[in-house]
Amino acid sequence: MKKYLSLLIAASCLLLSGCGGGGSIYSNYRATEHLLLVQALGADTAEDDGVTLSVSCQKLSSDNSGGIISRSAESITRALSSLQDFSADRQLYYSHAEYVLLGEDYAAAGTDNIFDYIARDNQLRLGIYLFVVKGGSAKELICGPGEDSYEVSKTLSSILRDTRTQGGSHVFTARETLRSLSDHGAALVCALRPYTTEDSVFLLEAGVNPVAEGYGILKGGELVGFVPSEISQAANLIMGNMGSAGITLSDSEGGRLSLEYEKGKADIKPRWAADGSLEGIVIKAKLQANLAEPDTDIKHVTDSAFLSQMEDALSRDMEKKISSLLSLSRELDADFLGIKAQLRRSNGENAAALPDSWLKNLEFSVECETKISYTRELGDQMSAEGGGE
Amino acid sequence: MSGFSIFKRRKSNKDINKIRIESLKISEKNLKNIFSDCGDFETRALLPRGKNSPVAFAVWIDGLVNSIAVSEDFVRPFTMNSSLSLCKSENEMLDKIMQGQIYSLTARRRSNMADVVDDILMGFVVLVFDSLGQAASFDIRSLQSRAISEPTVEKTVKGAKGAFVETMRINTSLVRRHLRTNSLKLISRSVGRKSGTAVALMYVQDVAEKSKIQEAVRRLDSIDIDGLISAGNLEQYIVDNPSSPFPQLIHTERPDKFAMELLAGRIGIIVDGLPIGFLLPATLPSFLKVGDDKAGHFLVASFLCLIRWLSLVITITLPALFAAMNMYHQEMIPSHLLLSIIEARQQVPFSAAMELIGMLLAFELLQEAGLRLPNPVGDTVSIIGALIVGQAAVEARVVSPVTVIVVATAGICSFTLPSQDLGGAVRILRLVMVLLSVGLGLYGFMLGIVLLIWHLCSIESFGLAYTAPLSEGYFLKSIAAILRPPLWLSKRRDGDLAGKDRWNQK
Amino acid sequence: MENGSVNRRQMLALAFVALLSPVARRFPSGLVAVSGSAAWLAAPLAAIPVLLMIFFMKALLREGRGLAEVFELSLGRAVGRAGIFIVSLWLCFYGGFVLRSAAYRFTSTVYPSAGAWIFVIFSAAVCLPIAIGKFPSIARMAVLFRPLLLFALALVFVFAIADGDFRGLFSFKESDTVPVLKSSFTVLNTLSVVCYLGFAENHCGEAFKSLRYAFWALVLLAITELLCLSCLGIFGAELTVKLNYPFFMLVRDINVFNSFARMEALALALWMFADAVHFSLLLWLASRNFSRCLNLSSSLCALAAAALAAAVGLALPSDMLGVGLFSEKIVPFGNALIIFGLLPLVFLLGRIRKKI
Repeated sequence: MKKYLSLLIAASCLLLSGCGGGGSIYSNYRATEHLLLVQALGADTAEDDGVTLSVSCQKLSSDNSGGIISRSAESITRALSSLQDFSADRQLYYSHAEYVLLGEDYAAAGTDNIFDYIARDNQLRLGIYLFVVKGGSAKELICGPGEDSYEVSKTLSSILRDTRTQGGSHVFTARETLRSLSDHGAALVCALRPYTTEDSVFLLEAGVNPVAEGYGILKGGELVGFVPSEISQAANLIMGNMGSAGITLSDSEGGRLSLEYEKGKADIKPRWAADGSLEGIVIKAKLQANLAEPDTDIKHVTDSAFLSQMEDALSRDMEKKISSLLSLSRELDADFLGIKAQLRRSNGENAAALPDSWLKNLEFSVECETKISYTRELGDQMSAEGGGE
Repeated sequence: MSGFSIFKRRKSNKDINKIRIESLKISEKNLKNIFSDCGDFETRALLPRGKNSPVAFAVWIDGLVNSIAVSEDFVRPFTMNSSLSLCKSENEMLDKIMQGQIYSLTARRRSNMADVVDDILMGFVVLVFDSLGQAASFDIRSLQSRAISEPTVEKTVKGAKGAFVETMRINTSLVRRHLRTNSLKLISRSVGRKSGTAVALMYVQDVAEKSKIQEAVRRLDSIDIDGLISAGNLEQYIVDNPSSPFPQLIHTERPDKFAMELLAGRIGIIVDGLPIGFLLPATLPSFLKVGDDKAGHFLVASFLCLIRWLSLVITITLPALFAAMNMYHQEMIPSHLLLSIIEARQQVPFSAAMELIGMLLAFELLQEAGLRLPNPVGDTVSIIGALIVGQAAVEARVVSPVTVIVVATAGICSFTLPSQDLGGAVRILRLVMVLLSVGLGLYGFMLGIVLLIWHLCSIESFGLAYTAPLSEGYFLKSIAAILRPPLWLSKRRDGDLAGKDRWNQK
Repeated sequence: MENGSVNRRQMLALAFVALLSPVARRFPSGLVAVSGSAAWLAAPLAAIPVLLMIFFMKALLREGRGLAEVFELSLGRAVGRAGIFIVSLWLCFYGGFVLRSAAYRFTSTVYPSAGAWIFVIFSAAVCLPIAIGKFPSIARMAVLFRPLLLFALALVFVFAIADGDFRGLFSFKESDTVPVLKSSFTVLNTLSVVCYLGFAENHCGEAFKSLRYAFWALVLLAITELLCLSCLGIFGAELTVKLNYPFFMLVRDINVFNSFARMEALALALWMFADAVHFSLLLWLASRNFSRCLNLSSSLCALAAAALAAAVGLALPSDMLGVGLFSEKIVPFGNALIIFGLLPLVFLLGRIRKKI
């Protein structure tokens, strides 16, 4: 009997659930029909050192509402509040937001605020994908040409999908970026360049089309430079996100060979001196590529000497890329490749004793070994010897 | 005997009527007084052959006895048998009658008026000897009863097609046909002051646990009510937790299932006038098993068992989870689905909570209406209600299609539950869980789950936990309770149920 | 087995599920804050002390003899009951803290606009009938909740281990030794609250089997280890410390075939099972001890204990710093004082007096 009496007390507490405007669980209620799902959020620097936030929302087919809003304010919180004010009768809902775009100026001024906000907010997730806009603003990409049919999230999701499968610039999440910043003091963020086109082709919207182009380099939370797309493959190789990007090599007879990277691995080996100082690092890379399209005499493809020549060319190409990448890292004094973490794994005590300028004075050498395989469809040998069919 | 909850029942006053009857001498006159104003009570003076005055009276209740058998097997031998006329005393006559001079198979000698009255009410013909103050009862009951038919609820493909009927003796014989062993014991009791309903408690000796048998008999004996007419009169008086909506007695209309459960160690109760057999103790897993599970291949049967368990979970939790996610935790809904829900709810005038609760209540109304109406009309109403009204409501944007789907899915899942009683409990639970989710979101939902699990864990059925063996901590036993293991591996009976004899096969 | 008693497996399930509540609350932030990336060493190092603690409990408890009996035998009836009373008061306080920290977990993540008082009051109200009821009900609940919680943990670990970066975790420095030892003590201290279950030992119909407890203790340590590894692998040390509930943040990022994502709210709510079992157990123990000491009915004592715990829960500070102070300092100190101070003292006195 007492059990049921106490159950009754518990049940009557249910009456308290709606009590008061504040402090009750019911104050967390959201009417689903009034939600506007934000898919992409962009941040740019505004006048007076404020921030301009732009959001792209999923459109409803019934009334074509949704779309794009952009507002400026002195802080992120005020800007979000302002966005809400301008969203008519809808409530902006950020839990389904997939992408955050940082304008170049905003990123250069420091990203601590936005990362802090993402980490604290209970709607935004640390798994949100980050982009930095190279040579443009996030608002430009999010708002586009101002047409109702424009949705930047479609393009961003296709970029995300393509980079996963085809290599190119890897898209990092906020969590990965924060982790890299805390572990290495620097991080890479996928860079987008907005291209304005006259035509609209298939899924691309007419007007503004963001294209992935290398990486932005964050150091201490500020954007300090970019990794050009030509050498971004080197970054992918070192970070272990090779993908199957393509590369075209020319042979000595003017023919071309198109290859696809299949897999790759890079080991960073430090060379310590007897006194514990760092003499330099050796980067040993191993690459495997597949033949995709031989625009040369087909007989050469099966010639081992020719292949060896191509493998050497590919190796040299990658070595050059890795060297350029390391030079950039050295020049900016930004350890976005996590070299120090490798040094710590090798010898923690020595690594702890390194001076602050260790990266600026870093000596390195690169060795790359490549193997080219044939494509899976065609056999290794020529199928017919002499004579037509 | 240890381990059973104290079964408290307020002691009612002893049956005054019974006390008065017990003290009366057995005579035709007293019986006429007892059965005064009973228009179907008949008496007849009988004269044995060769005697000059009636020595005995036959008394019976018209309609309960088989008139032809009474004439042929009772009246004729009594009046025509010459050996009875040679008896020097009525006592000697009664002795000879008890030894077979009257052709009834079942004969009982009575010296207590209360027994005589019980026999008459059971449909016996009683031969009263006024001078002796004794009587002899003969079982010449009318054989009118409903023919054995197919089960109405527990349909079977491979199993026996016979179902219990209202006559207890026919039901016990059906069980005996499945268990032809002298270990099958039957304890008879009569329950109900005014109804005197015959109740048979059946068990297999050494398979059922002795302490449970004794407790079951004790609880039956402690039922002191006017009449045991409906199933509730039995169930709600012998279970441990009558205030719980969860069923605590298994009932079946199939004798084969009844026999199978007796072999598992359960105790069965058959009540005269009810075409079902009750089994105890009951556990939650037992309400999700059907008799046909053992008829099919263990993989197929296990799959179906899993479906039932999944249905149980879905029917209780789906509407509540939907309410919580739709109102408080939209982040859990995939983006495209959420967009569909947003679009679907655009012009719905009601809040998500009202919509869901309204649909649940409408579903219950339809279900109830379908039960009350005659079969042909009931089917039509269900179709009209479900298809037309539901569709019209969606098209008129009174409700959103997602809500209809959620409620319908939960409803369909509840129909897969084999036990109607469990289904009834689940219907209440569903609504309670929705209310908790509407008020408190996922927190409320989990509070409901905690309370539900606790309630299930606190119920016991004749000393056995309701959630056994899932809550005993034995992994293999739990798996065997949820699924249907191969029969050749289930060599031992469940230790919580069975008595000394644990092995059911070599 | 007697009615009203449980078997050893149910006791183990109860201990396991009840401990998942403080494990999810304190680990791995509490460990990583002290020992950084080397925090994953804390659980393996704590294994031996945890096993020693289990064997110590075996020495204290016998079939039919719980901690209450040990207190009375060792200290005498009056002093023993006073000791039980004080421990029970602490159990109420600790229970109030459990309520408050569970409430804080909800208000800081899923229900930001709600007040903590709702969760404190509702949780106390729901656990009250459980505490008034029979002990086997709580144990059975724990058996049923255990696979759900293990499944949730397994899901998280599988995804986290697959995506994590563990390369930086295996570089040690000499200066890591002391912090790791401190973290090990934190693990030991947190798991030691299972000792309170000793007050219910006389409800167990089977003998105390230390090997079984040892096995489940190792499972719990393995879970702690995986928690640390997962959070360190996904977030790294710095971010793990900054986040309030890194384990639940892990859940946020899990995506299963694009159909199940952002399940943080569900995981948080699922941990209510552990909190409910933990709090109900504390309330049950406290109420039965009060009933023993004061000769009052256990229902009345349960009501008083629940009211006291709820009052403590409401009175505790609502800000992160306040909750952190109680979580990191006050409550662990109180538990350590009783389990590593009072219990061994009682044991020694009992042995000296040859009473146990």
